[in-house]
Amino acid sequence: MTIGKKFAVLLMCITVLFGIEKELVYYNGIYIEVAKGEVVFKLKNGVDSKEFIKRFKKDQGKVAEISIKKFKLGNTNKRGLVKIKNGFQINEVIDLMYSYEEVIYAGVNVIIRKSIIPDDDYATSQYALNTIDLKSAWEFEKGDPSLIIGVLDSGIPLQNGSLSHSDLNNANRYILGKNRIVGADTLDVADDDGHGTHVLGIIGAMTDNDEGVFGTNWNSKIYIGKVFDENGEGTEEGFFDGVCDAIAEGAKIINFSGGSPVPHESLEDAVQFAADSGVLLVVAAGNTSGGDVDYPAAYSNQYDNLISVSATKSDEG
Amino acid sequence: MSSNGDPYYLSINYSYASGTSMAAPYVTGVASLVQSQNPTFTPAQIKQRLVETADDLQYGADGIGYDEHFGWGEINAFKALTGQTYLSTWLHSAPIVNNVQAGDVFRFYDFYSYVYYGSLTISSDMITNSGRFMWNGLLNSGRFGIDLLPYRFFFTINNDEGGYTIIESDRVSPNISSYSVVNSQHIKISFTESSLLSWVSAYVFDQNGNYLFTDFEDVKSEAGNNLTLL
Repeated sequence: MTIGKKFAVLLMCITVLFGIEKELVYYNGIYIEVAKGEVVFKLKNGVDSKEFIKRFKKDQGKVAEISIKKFKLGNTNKRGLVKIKNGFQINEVIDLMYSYEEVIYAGVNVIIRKSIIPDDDYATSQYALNTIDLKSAWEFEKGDPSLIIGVLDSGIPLQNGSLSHSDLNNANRYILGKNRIVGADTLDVADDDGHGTHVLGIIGAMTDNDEGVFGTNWNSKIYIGKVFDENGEGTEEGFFDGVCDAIAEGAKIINFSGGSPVPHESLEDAVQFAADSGVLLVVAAGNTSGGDVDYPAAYSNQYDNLISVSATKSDEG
Repeated sequence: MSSNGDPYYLSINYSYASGTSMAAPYVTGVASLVQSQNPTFTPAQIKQRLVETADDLQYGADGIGYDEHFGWGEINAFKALTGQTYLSTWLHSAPIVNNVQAGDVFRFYDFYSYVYYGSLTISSDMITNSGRFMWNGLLNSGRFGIDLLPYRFFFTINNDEGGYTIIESDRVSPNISSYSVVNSQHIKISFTESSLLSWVSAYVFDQNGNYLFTDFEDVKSEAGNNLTLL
């Protein structure tokens, strides 16, 4: 997709509260939220990226700061991020990027959001325990200790860098990964929202009885990647980075309880990269039963390594 | 679904419908159990397993299989790990009977001739630790159904917990070891109802779990009667 070029960007408002700075752009007939002043780009295969970066900095130093990522895995195009300086607009910089023949793609960095969680997870977990026949299933399998599950969310409870939640404190199980919120300390995956803690509890909380929160899997390792900030927000490029991080750590299955209302390049790149790496992605379909499905969930009919999960009411079952 | 195409999705049924954040990690958890049990499975194989063993939440108007509202149905961890696909397209769960005990015998008869067809003796390995009965449909003779008409029958009688499957009944006491009569076109069931009012239905499926026909539906039995349905 080279939709970045077709953007008609309208600067509507700038959110300067807490968390990620955002702006609205007009995209395929609707306004979407993107990271303020950020442009994601990819270089053609075979391009000398160092040479390109050097030239771009020299030519465009007044317009933007450029950074390029190093990936150890896979056959993906080299990619990076441009931070636009004051006085320039996203659409100008996207066009500027495309003026370089080395660039194969340039586009906005779409905001992603956590999916909603119900208030009372205790009752919910008890309900699900019976509904999906987990108790019977555990007679057959409780989880392979050598398997790694990636969880890309808002993090895990930490105090002074140590696991601090009584149900999520087995240091042998949890692999503290990277924080992919732009501007944050990349090594800090403490959960400042609570969403990630809920999700982790369902996948892998300490399960030694039928009471309270239980983990579906009793033994497997869990990689913690932080892609949502304290407001439950992040960017598609952060999600892409998180997927790459988890796969580099050996994750075979990745959970992502969030999404974007619109399809976009980095979201699909992440799914494709997981497919190429033989990794299963399980993602939330969206916040409304029967409503539009978020991305990347909505790619699930195109990718057999992607499972989209919706929620239904018990009285409909 | 939406202009974005028809996303195929699994669902999880729970009492608070406000979010899918809770649902995805359950599926992740079950997927991880399937992967643990089958280390060589590819992502596509795991997805296929979860889809094939999901319980169809909506029967009737949309028919059996994929439907718009519920996708492929509700994930079922037990069936995902046992690979059971039959009956995944009807009602709510696997061919599971509650409160069956080892040593119980189910008997099958030809409906027209009343010739004894076969029996199934419940063994302890058919009963899970959580007290449920799971059966692959094979009789003691090693056969599934009548050779010329290879329909495969399952029957269960549910209890207060809610509907399980082919012979569906509202509040039958779980004493189903008595008599059951089945053949290729009709199902005949007799049982003694101890105290509760009951409704009984019989649905017939083929070997692949595809719905064939409804033999009878919501027939009422009186408390204390010995009920015979033809």
